[in-house]
Amino acid sequence: MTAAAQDLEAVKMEAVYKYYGDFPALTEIDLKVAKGETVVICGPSGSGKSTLIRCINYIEKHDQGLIYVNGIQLDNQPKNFDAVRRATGMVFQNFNLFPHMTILDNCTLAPMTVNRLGKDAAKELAMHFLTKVRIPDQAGKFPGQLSGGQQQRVAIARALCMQPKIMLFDEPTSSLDPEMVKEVLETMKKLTEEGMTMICVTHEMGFAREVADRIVFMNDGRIVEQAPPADFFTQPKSERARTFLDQVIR
Amino acid sequence: MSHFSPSACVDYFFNYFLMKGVLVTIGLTAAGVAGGLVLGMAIALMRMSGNAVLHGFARAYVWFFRGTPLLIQLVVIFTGLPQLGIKFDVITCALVGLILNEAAYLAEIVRSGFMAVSPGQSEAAWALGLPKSVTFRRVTLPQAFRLMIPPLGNSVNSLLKATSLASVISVEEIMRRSDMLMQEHFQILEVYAAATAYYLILTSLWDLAQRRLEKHFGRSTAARAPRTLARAPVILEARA
Amino acid sequence: MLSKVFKFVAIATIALAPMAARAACTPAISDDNLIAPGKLQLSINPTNPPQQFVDKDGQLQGLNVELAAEIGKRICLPVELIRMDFPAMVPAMTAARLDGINTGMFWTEERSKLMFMVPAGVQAISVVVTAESGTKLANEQELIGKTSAVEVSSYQMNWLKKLSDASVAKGGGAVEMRTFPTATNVVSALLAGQVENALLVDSVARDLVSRGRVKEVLSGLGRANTAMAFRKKVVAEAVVAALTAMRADGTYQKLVDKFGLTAIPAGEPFAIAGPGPT
Repeated sequence: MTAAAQDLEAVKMEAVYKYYGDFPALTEIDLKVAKGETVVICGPSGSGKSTLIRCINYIEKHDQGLIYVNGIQLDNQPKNFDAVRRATGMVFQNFNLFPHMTILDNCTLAPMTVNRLGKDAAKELAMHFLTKVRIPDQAGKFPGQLSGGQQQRVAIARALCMQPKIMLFDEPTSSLDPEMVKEVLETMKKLTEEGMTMICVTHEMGFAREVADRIVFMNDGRIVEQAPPADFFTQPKSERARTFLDQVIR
Repeated sequence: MSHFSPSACVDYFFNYFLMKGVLVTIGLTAAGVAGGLVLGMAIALMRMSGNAVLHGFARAYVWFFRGTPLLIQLVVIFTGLPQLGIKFDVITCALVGLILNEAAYLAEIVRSGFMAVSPGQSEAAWALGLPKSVTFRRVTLPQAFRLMIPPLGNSVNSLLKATSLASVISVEEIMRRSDMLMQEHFQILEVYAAATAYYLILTSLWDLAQRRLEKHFGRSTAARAPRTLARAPVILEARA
Repeated sequence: MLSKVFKFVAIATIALAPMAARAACTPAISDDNLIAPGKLQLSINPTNPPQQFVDKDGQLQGLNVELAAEIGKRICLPVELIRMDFPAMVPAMTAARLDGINTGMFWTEERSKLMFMVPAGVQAISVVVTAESGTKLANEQELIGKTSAVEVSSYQMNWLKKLSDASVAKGGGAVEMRTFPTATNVVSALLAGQVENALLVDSVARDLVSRGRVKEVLSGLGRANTAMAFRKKVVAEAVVAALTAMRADGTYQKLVDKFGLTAIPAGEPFAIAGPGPT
């Protein structure tokens, strides 16, 4: 692989396999995500979407194949996966904010301990991103005092505070009440418009159609098809994708 | 037999000899908890580690010390181990026994505390690039600790009372000193009422401390109305 | 506390004088003077051979055991010996759970005001060290500055405490005193090397010496009478009568000799010593 090709690719997965015991969670995954691209991964539940995205920042270890993130190969060397984790931000379905810390402390912990930022600088950074997700006034509160939508926006701000090159979203709106889904999707949309590389696992097909550059459809741990949203939603190639779309878009 | 004498009871309560015994009880309890917590944490970490040897050792440890009476452990440490050439002075014997025993109970409390913290918390910390040590110290430990406080509190309460067993190996704590005072004038109820009062005071103080701790570590999850309530009067005034 | 005390009370229901109960005689003590009708309940701590101990089969043995059986025969009541640790005995009797104490307890003035005490033997304190120890003591003053094990709340403990306090009052050192609930604990602490010496009742000490476990370095200290103690005066009086009869026919001396103990001098009649409870 040439250096130039690496530069263009934010994520590259080659023949990746992952097993839970004997069960194949991921089978022969080949995926490239270009810098600045927004990719939405969809598919029925249990199709391996979350496993795939969690392999990208080494929260799950793949068993076979190669994964490069920002040109760094993910192997079991802490030096490498630490670098990958610093280059990626992740937003979880259940927010996973630290409940015993204030919103501000949630956002400043990693910049201060990992990037060795001073307290004031970290606070300034945190307030910048909290303003960006439109909740700077909640900085002194604890996660439990915020609504789900607000918490998820804090989680996005917390990830952004590490100034990642790639953002990973693992079903970011699945735990939210319907009226709060919109505020989170709006925030994500803003990030795309700013050129952030994003990989989102989501069931929000409206968001996918509007924001994604590409849809990756998975089933039974395999990537079944990949296409721009216009093509995927109007003329899915596989029978499985057609059935899926019939179910999610009524 | 003479009737109960409240004034004698008060005298025993302020008896200097008994008070020193109270200090011994407090010292044994505090050292037992502190040592037990450190050792218990280590045992819990061994048990949670992937290493089969450490895991096996931790399980055997907990099995042994929870499965045998503290009384036997104390007597064996004090009068049995010297046969093998292992000899400590009496206070060390009492501390070793109490710490080894308490650690077994605390290890289980620590372990269940950590198990109750959602795995998503560590994942979120790793995703932010936090090293394992920081993840443990800043993310999982504080949350696990909050969950540990209620069972930990019960265990400290039991330990406080269990220190009286150390009298068997001649540690002069509340119980032993009460025995010694009692035989001077055989004012049985008076002496033991004073001793009981000390135990109740100590357990009540600990109760209070435990509630403080719970409040301190639970502040993040407490419903936070105060802020809005504090503002409310201002609004009312403005309306008036 | 009391629950703890009575947890230690291992009730050994050993009817020592079943024949007396069956015999055609009239009990010397009426039921209203007893805790439980038809039997005399006495406490004993069988960790002091040869005064009282438990043999390999768990049977109570010793002078006080045989003395109690003989008294039972003569007062025409079965005697039930209840095992418990010494510190629990006086509280148990004042709480009306026992008719008396039969454990070779030393007579003291303080005790004689709490219960009706009948001296039945003579004992002194011996200081022992481990058999391997080279320690020699010239007199009791040499206990100062050493670590001694004693039974808690015992005569030995108070004797040692007085010795230590007197030394401190004169500007000297103190005895490092370690107290244990039973004589067995005292001896095991000595054998484990946790203390330098142990103070035991002389008969107990001599028994251990004969078994080669310890060496006696001082003896005959604080010589005093040992007594049986009772809750009711009539019970004590009945026992005095029985003991007097036993001395007259030689049974008393025979028993004392059998266990190598010292008898109350023949010139001193058996009697309640001290005022008893008021």
